[in-house]
Amino acid sequence: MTNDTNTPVIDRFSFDNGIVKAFLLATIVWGAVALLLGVVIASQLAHWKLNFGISWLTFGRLRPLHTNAAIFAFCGNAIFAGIYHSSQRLLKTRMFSDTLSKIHFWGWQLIIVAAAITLPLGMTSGKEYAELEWPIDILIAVVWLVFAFNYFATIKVRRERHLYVAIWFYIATIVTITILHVVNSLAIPVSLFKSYSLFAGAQDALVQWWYGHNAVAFFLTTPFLGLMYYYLPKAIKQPIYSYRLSIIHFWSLVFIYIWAGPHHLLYSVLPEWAQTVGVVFSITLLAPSWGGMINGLLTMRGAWSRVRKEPILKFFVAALTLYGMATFEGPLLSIKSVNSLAHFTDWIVGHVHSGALGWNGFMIFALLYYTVPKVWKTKLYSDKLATTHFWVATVGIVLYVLSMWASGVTQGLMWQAVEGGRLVYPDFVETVTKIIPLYYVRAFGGLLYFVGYIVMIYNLTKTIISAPKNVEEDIITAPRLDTNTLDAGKESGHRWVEGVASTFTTLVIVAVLAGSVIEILPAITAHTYMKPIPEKTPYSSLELVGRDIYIREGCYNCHSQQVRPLKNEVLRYGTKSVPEEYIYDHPFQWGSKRTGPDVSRVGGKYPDLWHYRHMIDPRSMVPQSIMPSYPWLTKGRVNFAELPKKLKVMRLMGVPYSDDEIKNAAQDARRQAKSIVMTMNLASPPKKLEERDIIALIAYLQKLHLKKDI
Amino acid sequence: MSTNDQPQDDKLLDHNYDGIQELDNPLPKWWVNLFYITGIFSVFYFGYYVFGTGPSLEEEFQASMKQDQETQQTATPSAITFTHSDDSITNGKKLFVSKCAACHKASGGGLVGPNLTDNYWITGKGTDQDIFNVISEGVPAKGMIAWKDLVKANEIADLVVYIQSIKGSNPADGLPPNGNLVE
Ligand code: HEC
Ligand code: HEC
Repeated sequence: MTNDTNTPVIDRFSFDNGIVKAFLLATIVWGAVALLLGVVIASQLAHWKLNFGISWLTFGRLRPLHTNAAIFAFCGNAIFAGIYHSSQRLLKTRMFSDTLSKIHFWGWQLIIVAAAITLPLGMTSGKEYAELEWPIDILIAVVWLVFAFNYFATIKVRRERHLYVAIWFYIATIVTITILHVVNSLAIPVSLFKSYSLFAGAQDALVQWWYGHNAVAFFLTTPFLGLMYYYLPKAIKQPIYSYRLSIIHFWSLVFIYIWAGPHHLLYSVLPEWAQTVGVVFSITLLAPSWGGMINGLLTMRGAWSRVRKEPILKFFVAALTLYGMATFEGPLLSIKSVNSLAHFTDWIVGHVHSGALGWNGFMIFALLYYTVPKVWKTKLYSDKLATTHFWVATVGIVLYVLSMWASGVTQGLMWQAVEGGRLVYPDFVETVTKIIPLYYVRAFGGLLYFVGYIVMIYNLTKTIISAPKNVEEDIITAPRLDTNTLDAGKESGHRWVEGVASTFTTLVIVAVLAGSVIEILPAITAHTYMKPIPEKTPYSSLELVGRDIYIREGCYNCHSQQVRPLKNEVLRYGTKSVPEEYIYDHPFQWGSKRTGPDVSRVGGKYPDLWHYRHMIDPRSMVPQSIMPSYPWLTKGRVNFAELPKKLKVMRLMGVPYSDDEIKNAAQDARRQAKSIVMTMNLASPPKKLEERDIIALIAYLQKLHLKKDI
Repeated sequence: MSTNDQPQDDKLLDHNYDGIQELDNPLPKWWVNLFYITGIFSVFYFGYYVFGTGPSLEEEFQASMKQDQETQQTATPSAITFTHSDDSITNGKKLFVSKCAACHKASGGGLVGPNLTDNYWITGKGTDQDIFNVISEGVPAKGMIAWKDLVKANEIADLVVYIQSIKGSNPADGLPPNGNLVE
């Protein structure tokens, strides 16, 4: 390939394995935390007492911690470990800067610790999978850009002319996550740990699910496909089945994925064309997704007998198979009629976990079992234990997914059942009681998965402890890349692009921006959604605080706030939603799961006293309820002094508060609180009840309806 | 696996990344067809719903509601009868405990809602029909739910019978009277 007249310079260097080890250890530790949290919150749904009546242990606050820990701490660290390990080898170079790698590592751990502290304290932006508050969001952006810079600089100093398919996937991950994170985190701060999303209502929902869906795409799919393309052929020692398939499925995946976000918002008040775009791109996504699966599985051709013996290969096969199942289920769930049944139910939870536990989890286990012995220069302590891990975890996944599927279909059908214009199960809680046994099965499945994980920790710890100490890093020799030959003109088409990283990256950016811009920009700029309606006025200052409490307690993890245009929902909850009713909602709170009933029409349904008793102890009003008790709401005090500032920030974003309303925000809130306390007429009310969080929350809940007397 | 999976057909490319090589196998046929089929389906689906005659969500919703009105009309409500039998009382009690006790207490002595065991009535005069009406229509402004869409008419009748049966039971922790005394 090189010009005959040039004798290439031979470089001698070593790989930075220290950074790989650091990320591997972080993966192992945070994985345990994420899984344990999962088992805890699964148990809380089965048995409400496990919320313990302690604010920072309740479901609404721990569930975001679980999802963030699983995605960003467990998967995140694993991705970085794999990227640092494989990229150095694929690019034949040490990372550009060890210092930047270290900043990336410690910065990322700092973010995780900050999340672990702030989320249980209720500091949240209220947007799923993007709950972290603005200072942490900024930290994430900075750390991510450090990583990006280091990575692209490493590509620049590479000694391998062409970028291998794994690198393509890493590049797509790095650029797209930057875009998604920055746009979705746009918010205006009120204080150090409180901000309001810049977008409102339907727009906020669209941006959020463009982000949420593509976090799945570009954090849980593309980097893992990259890992698969490196570790699978390394482990099986066979060539990749089809280079052409790699090219086609990479580009189609990157281009198509970005459009599919609105399938999370079917039957919502999002413009219908956008919903339809979400449906069709979800269906078209099937083949690109399966492209990765079949390229992986076919790479294993002829080696199936080894799968029986080698646990790493077992994890790969199961991961790819579950990936194939999840990516088949995804398009299925995007079909409108299926979606109307499954959305808001546990089916979606099961769907997510076949991907998370099966695809992401098993890929990570394969990566750990392969890489830990490699970088510590030793052998795995026990293949047998790894096989045990595999089977225990597999049974765990099967129990998890089947129970959630059964639960979702059962509850979905009960909600839908209408006979002679009347709901067959008008009591929501009846549909909850029915699925409690399945919640126990799910929690047990999760527990098995966790137990398997502990076996792995033991196995890997033994491996690391028994590794030889103070071994020298290998010295690698490779010819330096002659930059003059880069555009030698001998190649064309894709092979050429693979040699020019800047062009390649630009094409990726174009591919992901195309869908983003066409889908999101019209909705963001369309002012037609912004027309106020008389049925919904801006929140009073007390109601606004109540809303902040609703967000702080994570009520949106169990309650939705949108009535879909379906007969059964209108019968159960009331008038179907209209886009205009959400225009003051920064952030939107539509929710994605109905563990409890929709609350967008709950205002006026019950007297204040009912809510008061229900919040302190839901079982006093609904004996079979599984909702956590919120006794601390009668103790926490509303920060009245902060109210004018909150209203001001809201006005900045277009909520029409008058000067007087802002000036008198505190007095108005106190007045409204007093009148609520008066109407409740408690025999022996707690002291200073009118200043307590619970009153603000009641005010907010009573505001949730469309005024009819207009 | 299909025939094109035979390893001897494979052409090894001169790619080598850290020892990883790549084959130049063609795209699996069935996979390409899958891609085409989903793509073509999507084009038609999009055209049908966005440019064509596909019903909008609103139209689908209206259609389902209309269909329901028709079935409701055909089922003419039969006249309500109040049978003060033990069966009705047992059934009424069961319903009361599960649906009404949260606000009226299992004893009927009242909590968020008023005491139902005394001779004082806020709405109506405590006749079977009066109680039936208040349960059916509720007093939404005061927090009493309209139950007519949630509970069947004959079940509401059983509730009425049950409430009449606990009149004067004077539970220990009942709320003080509310409303007008009916002798
Ligand atoms: C673990 C899930 C869960 C969480 C978290 C949760 N709820 Fe609930 N909620 C339920 C369930 C289940 C019900 C139905 C049974 C009942 O009424 O208690 C319910 C019912 C309700 C109802 C009555 C709705 C109706 O129409 O009858 C209100 C109001 C409510 N919740 C408010 C809240 C608020 C406010 C929060 C946050 C502070 C919250 N919930 C957190 C599960 C939850
Ligand atoms: C959410 C709380 C709540 C629930 C649940 C509830 N009620 Fe009520 N109920 C009230 C309130 C509050 C009033 C008083 C309304 C008023 O002030 O006019 C009331 C009033 C009544 C009255 C009229 C009392 C009078 O003095 O006029 C009857 C009868 C009654 N309820 C029966 C029932 C029955 C039967 C059920 C169950 C199917 C039920 N209620 C469930 C809150 C409730």
